[in-house]
Amino acid sequence: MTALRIENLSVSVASGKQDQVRWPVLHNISLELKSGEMLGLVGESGCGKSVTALSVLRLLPQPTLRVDSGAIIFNETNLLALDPKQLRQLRGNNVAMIFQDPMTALNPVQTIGKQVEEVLLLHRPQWSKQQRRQRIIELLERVRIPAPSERLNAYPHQLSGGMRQRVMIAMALACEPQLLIADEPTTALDVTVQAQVLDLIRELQRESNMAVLLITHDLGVIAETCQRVAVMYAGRIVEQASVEELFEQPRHPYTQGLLASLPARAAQPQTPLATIGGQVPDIDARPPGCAFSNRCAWRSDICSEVPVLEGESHAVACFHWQHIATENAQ
Amino acid sequence: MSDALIQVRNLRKYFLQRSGLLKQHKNYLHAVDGVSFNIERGETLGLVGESGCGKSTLGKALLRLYEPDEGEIIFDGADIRTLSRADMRTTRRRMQMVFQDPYDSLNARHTVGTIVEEPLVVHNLGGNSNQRREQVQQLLKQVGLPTNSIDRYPHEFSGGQRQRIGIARAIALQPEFIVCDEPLSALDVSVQAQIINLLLELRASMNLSLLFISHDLSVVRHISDRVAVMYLGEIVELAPAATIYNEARHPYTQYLIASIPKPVPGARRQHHALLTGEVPSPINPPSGCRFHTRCPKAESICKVEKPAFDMIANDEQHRVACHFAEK
Repeated sequence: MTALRIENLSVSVASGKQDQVRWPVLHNISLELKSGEMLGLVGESGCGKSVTALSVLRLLPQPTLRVDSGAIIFNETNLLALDPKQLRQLRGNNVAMIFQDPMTALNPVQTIGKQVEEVLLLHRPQWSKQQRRQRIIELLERVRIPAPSERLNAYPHQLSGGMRQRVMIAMALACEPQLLIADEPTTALDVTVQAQVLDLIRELQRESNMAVLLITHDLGVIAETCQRVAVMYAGRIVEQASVEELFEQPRHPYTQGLLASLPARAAQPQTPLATIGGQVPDIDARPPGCAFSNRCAWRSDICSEVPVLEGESHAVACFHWQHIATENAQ
Repeated sequence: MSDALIQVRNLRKYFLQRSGLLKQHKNYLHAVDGVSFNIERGETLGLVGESGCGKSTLGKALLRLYEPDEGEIIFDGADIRTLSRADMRTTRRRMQMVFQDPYDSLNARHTVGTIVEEPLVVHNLGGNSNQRREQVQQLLKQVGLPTNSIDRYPHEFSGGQRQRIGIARAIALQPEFIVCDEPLSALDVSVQAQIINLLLELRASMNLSLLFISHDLSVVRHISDRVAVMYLGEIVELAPAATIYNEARHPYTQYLIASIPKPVPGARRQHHALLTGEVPSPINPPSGCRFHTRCPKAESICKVEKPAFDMIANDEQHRVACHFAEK
């Protein structure tokens, strides 16, 4: 069953002093997420992965960022057509989000119990105070916060980064959402805590069969937690496949370059790593056609047109991928 | 220990923390607590550990950017803690630092030329201003920046290029030793690879010794000859990079290595026991072995007795601080 379908989503950003100039941030993004599935969205800073996430919950800072066209289908409704009241009912209830920095996402002057309760007050108004309290304790237990009935009264600053992120997860899960969007949930955490939090998300996801969209720049995190992965570059999805396929047989030259530049995949320590020439183009300097063409070793004249993301289970947006695959096989 | 450029002996750095009403309670945060190691000429020592373990403090204490409270730092035969101001000044030329944040560590009002030239000016080296400009051009070329960068400002550059500027400044005085404090953590993966390559190249051409501080264990493995693992102000294991990653003996190192997300599906971390709990406070570190509160192997001795930092199987290169390391 499809949990979320993004269809040809385009978003633009206003720039310059007199906001008339708009640059496209996302170009015709399409994504599909099944229930019970964990999809990774990976890319470098500025590629548009967070904008994609914010668009789903209609959290884009208007009017700087604006959806120009497309549809976001959740439960057979187009989220882009909802009015503010309907949106409020959806957010935190059917669709929840976890943000990167648990320190800024939590209110420093309220106890964590109060903050989790807020979600329930909004979406479960019929519940009694007792019921809410019980549910909060249950949630804190589920995200493995020790001594939850005492921690209820703790303020965010009294908790470590990992614990705060667990509180965020508890809040997100309060109403058992069908879709969870996690935007760099472990980037601010240490590696041992990251492992704990990722395990927790994965376990909760399996238990409740919710769909998870995991946004990260860390390919290692994707390989360990997701079933499918979409690679973004300069506002486009350039490749999408199962995790196994993508890491073993990347088709897009950008994905290939990204994987080759990882020290963890280097053949020999202390040897130079493969690099991608040039740098990610600024938003006002993206080349027409294939956005990667100005850095690509395989480019030809046809690359001045926009390649379509094609393929069933393993999709790629590149005119030359078959040619590249045969060349690499030799 | 034939050709050690730096010998650190029992180094300690505490920070005073005041708390309570009128701040009358004094506590000491044990940031670096009795650390000893050597760095040889041309060697890269990786330093890993979780936030708050004291790795950055250690890096800064080595350059006396923090004044250590106790211990010796012997740089090329002389304890730099006992040097006079004038002698320290000359020694500083030989040791430099590259900082984490390429956005904050460069003065936004200075041109790249001024930034890179500054160490030469401060130390009165490099001849007259024309000669210095010539040298700066040379340095920019060496770190892979276009020569027209010299009159531009930091904000005109991307994160990766800014880190190159920081590196150019660090190598301006032809140092022998550079502390790199998380030089890659603000950069994207593909840019990281470029900076790693630059560091590898400079290290070889200038015979540099590096202390490479990072929380990214895959990067450290790639660049380091040996790796030291820190936990709560102490080094718990020190060994050649391959040994740390394949034959770690300290339970903490083993957990740290197991926690790295590997970009290889199938190598997917199974639900083996993960490290539970979190790092205790360095203000009141646990007694005995500091890891005992989280260690699955801990026995009663670990609470009482601090394990010695001993060789494993008489291997001069591999030291571990654990009572049960030989098992």
